[in-house]
Amino acid sequence: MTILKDYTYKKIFQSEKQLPDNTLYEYNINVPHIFVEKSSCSIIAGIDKTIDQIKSYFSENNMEYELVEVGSKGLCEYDPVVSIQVPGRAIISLKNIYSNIVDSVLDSILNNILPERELIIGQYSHPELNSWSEITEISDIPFFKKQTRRLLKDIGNIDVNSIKSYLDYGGYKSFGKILTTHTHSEVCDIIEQSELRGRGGGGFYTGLKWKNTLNNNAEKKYFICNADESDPGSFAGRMLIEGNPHLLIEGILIGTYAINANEAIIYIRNTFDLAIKRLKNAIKQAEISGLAGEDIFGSGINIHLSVFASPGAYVCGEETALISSLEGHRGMPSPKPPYPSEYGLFGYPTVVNNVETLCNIPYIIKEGPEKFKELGSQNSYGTKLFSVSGKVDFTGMVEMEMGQTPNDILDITKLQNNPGDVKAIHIGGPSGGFIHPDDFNMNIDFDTFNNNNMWFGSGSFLVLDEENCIVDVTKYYIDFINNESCGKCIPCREGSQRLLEILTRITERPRTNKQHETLLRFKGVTQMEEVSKLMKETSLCGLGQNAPNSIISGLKYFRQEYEEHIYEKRCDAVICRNLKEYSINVDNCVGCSICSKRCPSDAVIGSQRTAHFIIQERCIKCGICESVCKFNAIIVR
Amino acid sequence: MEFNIKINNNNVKVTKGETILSVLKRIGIAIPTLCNMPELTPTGACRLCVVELENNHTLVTACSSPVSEGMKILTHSQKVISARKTIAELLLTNHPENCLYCDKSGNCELQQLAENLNIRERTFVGEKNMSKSDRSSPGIVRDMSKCILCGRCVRICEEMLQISAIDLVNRGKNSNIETVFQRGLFYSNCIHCGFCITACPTGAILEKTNIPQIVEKLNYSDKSINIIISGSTIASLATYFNVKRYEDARNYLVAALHDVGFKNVMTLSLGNDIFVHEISSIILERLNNHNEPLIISDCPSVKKYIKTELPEFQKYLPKVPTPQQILGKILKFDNDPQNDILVSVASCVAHKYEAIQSNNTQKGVPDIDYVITTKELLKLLKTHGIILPYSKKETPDKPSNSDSSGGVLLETKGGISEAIIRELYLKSGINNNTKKIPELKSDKQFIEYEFALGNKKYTIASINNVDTLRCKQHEILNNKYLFVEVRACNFGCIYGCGHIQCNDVENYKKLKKNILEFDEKTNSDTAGKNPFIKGYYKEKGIERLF
Repeated sequence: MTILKDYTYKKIFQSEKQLPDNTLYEYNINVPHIFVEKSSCSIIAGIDKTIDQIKSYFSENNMEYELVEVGSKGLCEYDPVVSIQVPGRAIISLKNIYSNIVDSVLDSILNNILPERELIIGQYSHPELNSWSEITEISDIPFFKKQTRRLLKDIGNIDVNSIKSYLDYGGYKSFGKILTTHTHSEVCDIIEQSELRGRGGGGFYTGLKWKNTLNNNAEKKYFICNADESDPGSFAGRMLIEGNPHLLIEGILIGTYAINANEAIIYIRNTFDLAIKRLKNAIKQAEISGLAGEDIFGSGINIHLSVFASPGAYVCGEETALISSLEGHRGMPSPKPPYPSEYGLFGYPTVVNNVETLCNIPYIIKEGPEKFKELGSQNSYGTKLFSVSGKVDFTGMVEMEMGQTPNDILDITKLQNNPGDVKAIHIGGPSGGFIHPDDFNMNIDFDTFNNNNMWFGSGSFLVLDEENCIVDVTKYYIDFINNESCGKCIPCREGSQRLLEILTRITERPRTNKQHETLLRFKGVTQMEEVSKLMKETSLCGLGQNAPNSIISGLKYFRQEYEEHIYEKRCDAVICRNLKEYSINVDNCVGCSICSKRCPSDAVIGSQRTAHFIIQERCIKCGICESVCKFNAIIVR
Repeated sequence: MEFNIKINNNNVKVTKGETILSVLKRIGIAIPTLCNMPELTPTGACRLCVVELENNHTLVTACSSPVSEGMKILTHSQKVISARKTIAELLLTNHPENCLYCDKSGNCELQQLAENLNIRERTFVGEKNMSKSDRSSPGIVRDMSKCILCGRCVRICEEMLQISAIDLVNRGKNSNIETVFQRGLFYSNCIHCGFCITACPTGAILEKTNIPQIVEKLNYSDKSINIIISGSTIASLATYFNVKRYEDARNYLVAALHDVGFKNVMTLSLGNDIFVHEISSIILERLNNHNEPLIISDCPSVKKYIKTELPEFQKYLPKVPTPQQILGKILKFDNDPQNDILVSVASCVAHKYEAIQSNNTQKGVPDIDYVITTKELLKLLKTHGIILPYSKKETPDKPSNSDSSGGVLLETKGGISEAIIRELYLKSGINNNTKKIPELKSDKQFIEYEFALGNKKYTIASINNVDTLRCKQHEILNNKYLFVEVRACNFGCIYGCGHIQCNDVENYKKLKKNILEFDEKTNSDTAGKNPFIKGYYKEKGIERLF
């Protein structure tokens, strides 16, 4: 850890030194530098083993080296990603470096020989260094080229464990600027002029929120950073913290100064081990360097930072529930008004901001609100992070200008496959909805989405193709809501339970064909519409109000698919297991009776060398017969 | 600040800070509510009080939204009515439909809601909440399958009592109201005050009934079955049956209970008199040097509260049992305990908890065998077709035929203090003209009262609600008061959860009036004038029993 006790006010805030963008570390080195992209996604891919192998390689060969931990650049598909710089040569970035190939890759690179082509992502050229021949620049790769990387600019370059590295890239200068030259209300003014809107989903104007709290003359105020990101499929905040913790801390410091508070709390999921570790480390460094804590650089301003590991509930992303959880109560939302800016944590005025929102703040202060507004569309300026997953070639995090379209994101992430294969995009996590291919040229910004009753929330972007069943995906999200609803208000608690039951009913083959059961299936859609409308109109908090979005949009664009499930008991994507029907093609069946022997429920009958038959009542849809049949005689419908 | 808003297209003048619901109540527009209780903070949980605001895409709850200028409210638009109806339908889908067998039937807010919203067919079909019921407490049964999670019991336990014996646990469909570690009320810090019973809109929290056991004993046991009725029970039944005078109601009831099959029918006032006699002796002893606080309570809930929450106060509680248990000990163990069965009719469920405590048994035989509440007694009377006024009148059996009115008064708010002060005057031989103390009868939860005895002045305090006791503990420890009277219920025993129409302040006022009128007319106004007590202590040759 680099501790910067000797960094004085002048050195930090007035030094001119700043590394150019897209440069890893310093170029003038004497020993090989290994940059490992260690983040949650690469840990899953096995980066820890890779790091161990790298260490043992160098110790076995008795060589000096430096290992630098950096955050993920967003290309999660390529994890574990390792970039290597040999003295005198440009940095080369390699993908899928599992521990078993570490030795061979290092052998060749340290001898100035390129490893196999399929391992190479690209290189970062530098005028002073020898480039590798015939290797593309990282910035020229389409995945990076078409993005507008403002928040992610330095992630992947910055040593996450060192404040020095962040300072070298111009860090904490915005905080220094406001501390020396701006009053509290001036900072609020700047943010208000930038028209920055909350990235958590609601889209409330951040500057306005700050100003309301600043104007409240309470004896104490709190600033809370909401890092309790917990929707399935969304990881933007977590990656930001893991990749550049000091950026968030600088945003929080500026925000806390702007509302004239002394205490800032980062409310983060307890399961985000790596993010918590890096954040705590970064706070410690900031405090030792005098950037946080008592009397910051003699200005008389005290800002205490603390990390609160949240017990973990989806509803705690809602600010009133978050505050009640921080107070030690059960995390349940309370009615607004009073808003947290009037009556928040322990009754004091409180600002709650999302991680991504706060990471925008240093840029706005540094470059000015006008520069910030150069990107984006009307009423939605700046950039937005999207966590792309599903049926794409590059799962990962992308940063796009506001007002881009789903097509633009697909362009980046779905390179080889035909974009026409995409059946739908589910955007916004459990609170979001489906987008039909016809609307793929719709602008992703607050106004367009609000007008269409949609919500992009924290920016999860799930791409679905013909092998995905809309009803099943909806069922998954409603199940999530049903489990995560706090249980306080009736529309959300009971409504989501009934919605889940209706969805389960239509994704199952009815046990009997009695009229009662058939009628229930048929009534399903109208009842879902009724309950969805109720939840949207009367739920207490955003979770409940947005919970039925998947159903509403699903019924709007993919009603056909619902009807197939209900009337024809058919799932074209063959996902809904309980709707499947296995039967035997008499022409293909040779009567080997393997399926009959392997069937766990004795559903396949027939004598040797004659075609077999499946008794539907006994079949438990396990699919074993299909997998053991060598003659393609099992038909799945 | 006053301004005008529009409600259903009519102009209404409102004050800033009022909620929409309070405005609607004031102008007489009724909208359904479920989770709302006037004395608790609104949580907006049930969403039944939603109203439509112009230019607002969602409906807002009237209970939690303050009025603002330019508001245009529609309280019964088609959108609002259908939303309310769907919410109620969703609730009913998850509710066991066994209203016929539910104790709350006829008095249930959910039932009333379904009727008011005209829900007369099942819309949704689905899985029902099958949570287990908690029967660990001797007084309170929580059948969680009937719970609609309005949170009223949780809030009343937390906000009014600061005990939080129950709270919401789990999320989503598994949400439930549970005690600590889900072990049941008996093992929690619950003080069995029964506030949650009065708060519950459905039959999820009810008192545990002892009627089947009593009926069985009445039918098949050859032992003599005796019953003790408390003064508040008589007042409660008098109010319910519209009998004007307290002593009329008492005498009708005694006759009726004789006919039901009880051998001896006694009143609790006798126990109250002994209680006052014992306590006032203790006070007289320490009149000149009260260097320690003295906490007087006839409430089992307060005793449990002090045991669990304020253990340092336990040494300030005198060792005198509560009146119910005093009577049990005297009536049962002066005779052969095996021959008697003693039933007590109490004002709340805390007495059920008290009766099973080990210090209230002798050689495994409980002092009081069964405790029932006034509500249960009414059910017993109804099964026997009894209504008051009854065809005949009888006076209570010996030894409780000569009770003082101070004993009856004890069960009202501030009654302990008043009865004790009267007794102190009597014992010190001072003839006091002002025998009624209206200051102690006010509806405040903390009352300080100063009185002169001889040439010295003493201050006493009357505390209702255990939270007030917690707030005032430092004053009590400062030894400012001669004694402190504490009760868990806000308005004394006549506001207990066991009464018919509990939780109704208007009803409480009628009960209070009934008892005060009785006290006004009676000559035997304090325990010392009760001939039984004089004789009993002389016969035993002792000054104090406990």
